[in-house]
Amino acid sequence: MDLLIPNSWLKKFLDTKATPVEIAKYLSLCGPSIERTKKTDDGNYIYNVEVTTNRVDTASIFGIAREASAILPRFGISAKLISNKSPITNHYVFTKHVKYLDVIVDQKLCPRFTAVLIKNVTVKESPTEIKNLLEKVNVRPINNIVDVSNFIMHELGQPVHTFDYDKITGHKMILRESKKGELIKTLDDKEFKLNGKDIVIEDSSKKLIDLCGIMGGENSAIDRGTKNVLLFVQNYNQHKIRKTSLRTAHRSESAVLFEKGLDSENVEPAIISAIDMIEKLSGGKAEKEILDIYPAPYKPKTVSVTKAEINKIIGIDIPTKDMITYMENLGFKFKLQGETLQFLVPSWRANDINIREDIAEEIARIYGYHNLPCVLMSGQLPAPRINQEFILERKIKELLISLRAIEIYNSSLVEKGDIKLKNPLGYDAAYLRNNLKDSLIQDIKNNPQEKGYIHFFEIANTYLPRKNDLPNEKLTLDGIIKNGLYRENKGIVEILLNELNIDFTTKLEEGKDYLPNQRLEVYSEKIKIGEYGNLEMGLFTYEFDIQKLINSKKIERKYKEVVKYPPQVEDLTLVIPEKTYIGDVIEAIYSISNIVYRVELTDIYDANYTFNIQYQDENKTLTDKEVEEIRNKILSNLKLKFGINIKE
Amino acid sequence: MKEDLINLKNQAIAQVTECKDLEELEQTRIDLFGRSGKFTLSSKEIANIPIDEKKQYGITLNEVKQTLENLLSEKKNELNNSARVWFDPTIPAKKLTLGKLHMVTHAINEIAEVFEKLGFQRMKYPEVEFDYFAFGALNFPENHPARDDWETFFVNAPESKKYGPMLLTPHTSSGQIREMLGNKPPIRMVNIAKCYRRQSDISHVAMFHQFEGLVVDKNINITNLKGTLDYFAKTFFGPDRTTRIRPYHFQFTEPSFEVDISCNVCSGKSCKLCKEGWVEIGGAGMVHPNVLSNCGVDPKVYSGFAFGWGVERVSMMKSGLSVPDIRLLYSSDLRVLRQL
Repeated sequence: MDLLIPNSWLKKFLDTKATPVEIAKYLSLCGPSIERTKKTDDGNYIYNVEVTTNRVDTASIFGIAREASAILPRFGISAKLISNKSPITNHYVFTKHVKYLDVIVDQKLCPRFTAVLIKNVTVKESPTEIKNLLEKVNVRPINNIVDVSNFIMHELGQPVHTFDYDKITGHKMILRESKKGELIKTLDDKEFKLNGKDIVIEDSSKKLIDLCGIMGGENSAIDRGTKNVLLFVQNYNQHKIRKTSLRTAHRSESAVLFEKGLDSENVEPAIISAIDMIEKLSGGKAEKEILDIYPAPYKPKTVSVTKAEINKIIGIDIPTKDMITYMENLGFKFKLQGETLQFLVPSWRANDINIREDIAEEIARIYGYHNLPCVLMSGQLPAPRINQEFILERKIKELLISLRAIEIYNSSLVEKGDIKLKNPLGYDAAYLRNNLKDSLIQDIKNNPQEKGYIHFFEIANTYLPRKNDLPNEKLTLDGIIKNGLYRENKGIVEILLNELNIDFTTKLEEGKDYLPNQRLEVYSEKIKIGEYGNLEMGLFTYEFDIQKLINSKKIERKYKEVVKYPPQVEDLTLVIPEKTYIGDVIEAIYSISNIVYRVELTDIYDANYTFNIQYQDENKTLTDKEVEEIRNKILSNLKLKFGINIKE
Repeated sequence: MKEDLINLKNQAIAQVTECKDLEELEQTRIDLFGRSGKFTLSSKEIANIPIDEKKQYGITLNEVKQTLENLLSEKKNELNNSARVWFDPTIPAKKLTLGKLHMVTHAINEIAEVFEKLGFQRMKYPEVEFDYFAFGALNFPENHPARDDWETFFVNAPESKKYGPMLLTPHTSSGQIREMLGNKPPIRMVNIAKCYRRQSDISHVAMFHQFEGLVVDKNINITNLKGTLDYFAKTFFGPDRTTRIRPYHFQFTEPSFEVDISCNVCSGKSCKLCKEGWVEIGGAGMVHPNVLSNCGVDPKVYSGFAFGWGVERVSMMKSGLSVPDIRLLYSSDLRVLRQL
């Protein structure tokens, strides 16, 4: 959470000569991060502070002053914390029963409940200095009573509420959980239908007068005519407040504080300071007895550590006496028992400090993380583990970009799939995708401006359900080509498989989304490892399962002697009848003799197909006669099998 | 005999001078210096020369050779110059195209390489996980906001009795648990993977990438974390960059840190793009003893540190492209992709 801290207000609790620049710099290094410092027109400085969720004790002017008083001395700057305990504290009695208010409190919802009646107030504008400070922390001044609530909340980090005492029917309060469907209008004029389990207060007329921790009810709000004020300071169950705040989307400043878990001990200085201010600003007079229902007061807990343990975590040697100084400046008391340091955790750190690592953190940060050296660890390296997926993925990507393909990352969250989300961000991102192809087709559609060749590819997981287990996350390669020639597209697939050394065969097989008779399945041994072919809209696609590529049979690569004898090479142009698979023709040519060493289709013109054929014998130079015999065999075989003739 | 050589020289000079093209010149050269060229034959004659004339013959032979070779080479240059063909090297190149790896892939490769140098092993762990690995074992309390369904995506699947609801990992830190449950220290692991959070705005995208580092061994301390992260920053971003750690809070580390890197725009002097000369880069911390215990690692013997940073963030910081919206990284518009 972000917090605004005016320098002048901070100085109310911090006696130091540190400049605003020093305060911002040193606090950021050792404590709450000061994100920005802004100088105002009237010569003040305002710090914008980021407070982490575990340190709600610093979410106030006083809290930041307390941190500064521990941090600044480490930089050689004297800084003393000025107490937040009002001198009038002793004028009041905290008691479980008061005459002016009848209450029933569910302790699980509200660990500390305090209230006090202040009579005969005059509601009016606050003095300029108060309004001025509130405006500096982005709070709009309203009137002297409401302004005090906001002032105390910012100063001490404890939300404070005020009711118009005379609007509470029967001067009775029941603090309880809401029931589903109950209605309440908060004082910002918003109406909420409650879901149940929110903390609310009803009066004796059974009307709800407070949506606790979030905002007071409109029906009990202070107005111009308010005479008697019920000042109200509590601590609430943080989880309840968070749920209500999120459910109602009402992120009031008090809700943001309560939901982090506040210090019940802080209620006392808050109510005393508020009484003091309201009396001064409104002329009212507070009752001497303050209602205080606090069945389980804070008992300080102890965390024990040794110097050695702390230094082992930090990595350098910090002397015990320095450790003690840092901790004392943060408000920790300590006992030394032999080697063991026993630290007593102050109430405002009760949620946050539990184990020795927490103490190590306090000591290390006050010592200064920036003062620690950078040291690479020594020690053994782990035994090697190689994940083939990473290696193959990288190899494929490098191959494909050398073939002009453009890599793309699409979202795993799509409109259709096998695994559904409970809480998607939108209907079009409600499933984990079970294929990459649909995303890639959409990518092509997203580029209507591109008139030429496009080749996109993606390597990503697809998600397939498994019974009673996490889904199968199948790493998949998918590509899509627009405006490519089929033979070139197929060439890309083949060079990929060849470069990966995969021993594969293909099989013509129909498949969903593909044009009829335009899809090939790729097999290695008996296992299907992928597929490719033509889709509608002139698109070509290919898809492979990365794990299956890894496990597929590899071509054994052995060095082969270069053949000493020259090959005979010739071009044959054949007239091939329609609807003949050229793949079968080439296979038939090879099957004639081992001497047929290489057959390549080099040209197509109408029904005329030119093949470049290489004849080679490893043991001798072939004679023209031998080649002629084989050629004749080829031609007669093709004629017989396919009705193919040589072009005259 | 010497006269024969002089005659040979004079004839040859005349022939070379009359050559009209390189081919003719080459033929002339072969006629003289080839295996049965005139000069070659004359030089073999030296065997038949009387002893007292041998020396003089040799000297003349060398002089003639020298003269003719020089002449041939001059003539060759002359012919080359006159035979110069018109060629325009300023003609525009034909535009060739290569494919393109995605910016995130580049970043992932570079990140993996940096950590490999420090002996980290890149591992892969599930993107779809059970609550236990994503939160429970990472010391998240029952009521932690990250477990709310407005922050984390939950899968519509039956709950595991042992591990709780199924969800999309909101961070790579679940990999810490998987790693420690499956392996004994020493551990040096980096997990670079997709993560998911229910946010979409200019600095958030529902699917993004993180890289998580985990080191567990005896005597691992804060100075080791500082050393490792500084090494990464200097290798990935450049040797002149420095890092610092500041107090922060995470459930699964104690102490926890925010890591800053010195701003390269203003060289640490403070500018609009940074915070007093520093740019936040990500979180880190010492592995919480509860997390170690949850994974069967004895926190009395072992300690560790971990960090989890955004791949997109470090990639964008390094590129200097000033991409205004992180979601653009996942655009499929080629006009965008070609620039990344």
